[in-house]
Amino acid sequence: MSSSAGTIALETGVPRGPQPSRINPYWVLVLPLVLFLVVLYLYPIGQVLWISFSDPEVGFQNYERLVTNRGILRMLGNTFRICFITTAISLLLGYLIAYAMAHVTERHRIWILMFVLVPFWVSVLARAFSWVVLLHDNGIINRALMDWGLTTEPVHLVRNELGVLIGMVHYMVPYAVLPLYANLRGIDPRLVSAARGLGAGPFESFWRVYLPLSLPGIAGAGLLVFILTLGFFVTPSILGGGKTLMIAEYVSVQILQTVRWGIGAMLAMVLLILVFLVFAVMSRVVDLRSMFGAK
Amino acid sequence: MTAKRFSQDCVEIALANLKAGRISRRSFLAASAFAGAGAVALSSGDLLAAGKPKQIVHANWGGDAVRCTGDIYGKAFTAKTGIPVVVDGSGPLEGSIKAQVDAKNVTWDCCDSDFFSVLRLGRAHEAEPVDYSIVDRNGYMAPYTHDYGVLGYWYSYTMTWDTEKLGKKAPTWADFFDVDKIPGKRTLFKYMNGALEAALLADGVPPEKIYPLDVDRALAKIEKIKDHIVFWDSGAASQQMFLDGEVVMGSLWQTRSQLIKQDTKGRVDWTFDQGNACPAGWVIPRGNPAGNEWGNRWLAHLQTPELQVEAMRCFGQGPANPKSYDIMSAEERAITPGTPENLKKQIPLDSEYFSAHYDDVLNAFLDMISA
Repeated sequence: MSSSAGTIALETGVPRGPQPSRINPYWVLVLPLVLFLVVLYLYPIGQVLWISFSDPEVGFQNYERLVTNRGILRMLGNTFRICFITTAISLLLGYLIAYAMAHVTERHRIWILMFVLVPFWVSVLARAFSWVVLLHDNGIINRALMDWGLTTEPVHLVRNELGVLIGMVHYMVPYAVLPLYANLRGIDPRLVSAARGLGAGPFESFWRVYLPLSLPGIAGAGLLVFILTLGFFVTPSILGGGKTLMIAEYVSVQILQTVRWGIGAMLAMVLLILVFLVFAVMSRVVDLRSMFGAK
Repeated sequence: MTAKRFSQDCVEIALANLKAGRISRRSFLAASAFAGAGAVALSSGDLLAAGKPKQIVHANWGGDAVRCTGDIYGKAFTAKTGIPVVVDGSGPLEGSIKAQVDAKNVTWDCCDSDFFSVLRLGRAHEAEPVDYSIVDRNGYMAPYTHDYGVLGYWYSYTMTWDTEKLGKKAPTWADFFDVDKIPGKRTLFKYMNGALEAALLADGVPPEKIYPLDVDRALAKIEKIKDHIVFWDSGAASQQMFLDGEVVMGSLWQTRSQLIKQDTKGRVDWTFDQGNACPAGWVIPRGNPAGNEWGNRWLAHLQTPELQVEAMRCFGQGPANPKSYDIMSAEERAITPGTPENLKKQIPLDSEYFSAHYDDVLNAFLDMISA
């Protein structure tokens, strides 16, 4: 997953405050890190960029495929649809969990946190295979459904897009919960009490006071989840029954199997640019620094 | 790329076999006994002529293939030449070989590769030429003596089916594509090989006219029953689907089919009939560290029939040197894809065709299944 891309974008996408005119001597301490980034990060990315314009010959032909090749367009469309749905469901579930965590006793909070974090530490491969075992046509869930007479035929829960969504949401919920929880904890409960005191019902005080206050948390969690889902490879590959092809796997096929590096590099660049774009748009909507707790 | 995946799969099989106690360490000990026999293949006078390299690095897919290749081929080579053999299991994907050669930083002397990839690498000048004064041309069946690589082993995509659901008689590919006649999920390889050939056979194309592939016709045929197909991308996954009863039939690597047959005590059966036999190659990346001559000596060593049979017993790799078939038991011949009698039942994959069209056809296939 391209979490490193996210970190970089954070560093560069944030508008700096007014700088002192004299160079701060502390920059010397940061210099090795900057060099490190240039050598190990920017230089290879520059090479990938170059390949995307030069393989098999110099020109824009790889980028032309973005608009002319229906297969690539459809694959990108699938990727975005799946990532949007995953993000939306993860945010909804994550919000419910984070809301509960922010409002229960300390002891219960620790339990909830544990249930959120334990799957977080299990390998993505093991989780994907476990879902297959649970969900396939002769799996535990389908057998239970049929034994209880709820269905007469197996429900196809996996080896399709539904399976991919289940696996991806399961993977992403902790990523939604943690930033949301940090945000919800910061909301002053007296504001809700005040709204109630002024005559708002429970729903209205949530809708008009609590929810707007938690918007930065929702935006931050959504951004994090969406960007991480763009790089998914293993989960769709296993749970999709081979029929769900997302951008990361497509790039891998072009680089390693069909050896069409130009197309692979072009798509990798497109992915990177999209991540930057998402950040740029978000930075106009919300304050990124406060969203990630840097302020 | 499928041979690479296939070899990777053999590794897993060997591991599973060892754990289940189906193979013993004896196979590996036997390798040292062949060291003497192998020495005949190279005359000792030649050895002194060329400067000895520090080592030979053979690239394959990790795990037990490292041990099997090292113990069987490697020890015998070291015994007769004194040169250590290192088996690198990090995976010589075609893209990885190209990356090393282009960067002029080659670390492998020999790579395990699909035969159509060997042709592609040769055409792109990413491979060293084969020296047939060192490598025995008679150790291969025609037409697999190529300028830039040799036939390493055979593997096959075979019809595998659940006898409890479909009966003892093997279904045909026509049955596979007839979902009204036989309901239930089927499985095909996600990266295409074996699938288009099966579709065309089912559509009535005679075996000798399969290549050049009528890609559109094959894709249309598969698309019609796409909802009934699960695509596997690892041998373990294909095996699991049959053990769980998730699918009723499919196109599987013969090594996995045989394993499932053993594990289910014959509930799942398989046949070479209408299978897709695939040649895999060994190739020397251009600018290999040990140099062209020693790369070729290693290729010559890999041809040794006795060692090929041992490798088959260790991790299922189907020997390709015709002489190795003479020293197998009847049971071993029956499950070896490359023997003349088994090749006759199958459609041998056309490496020339795929060396020219693999990219386009694979992308069209992936496009169709993910649409």
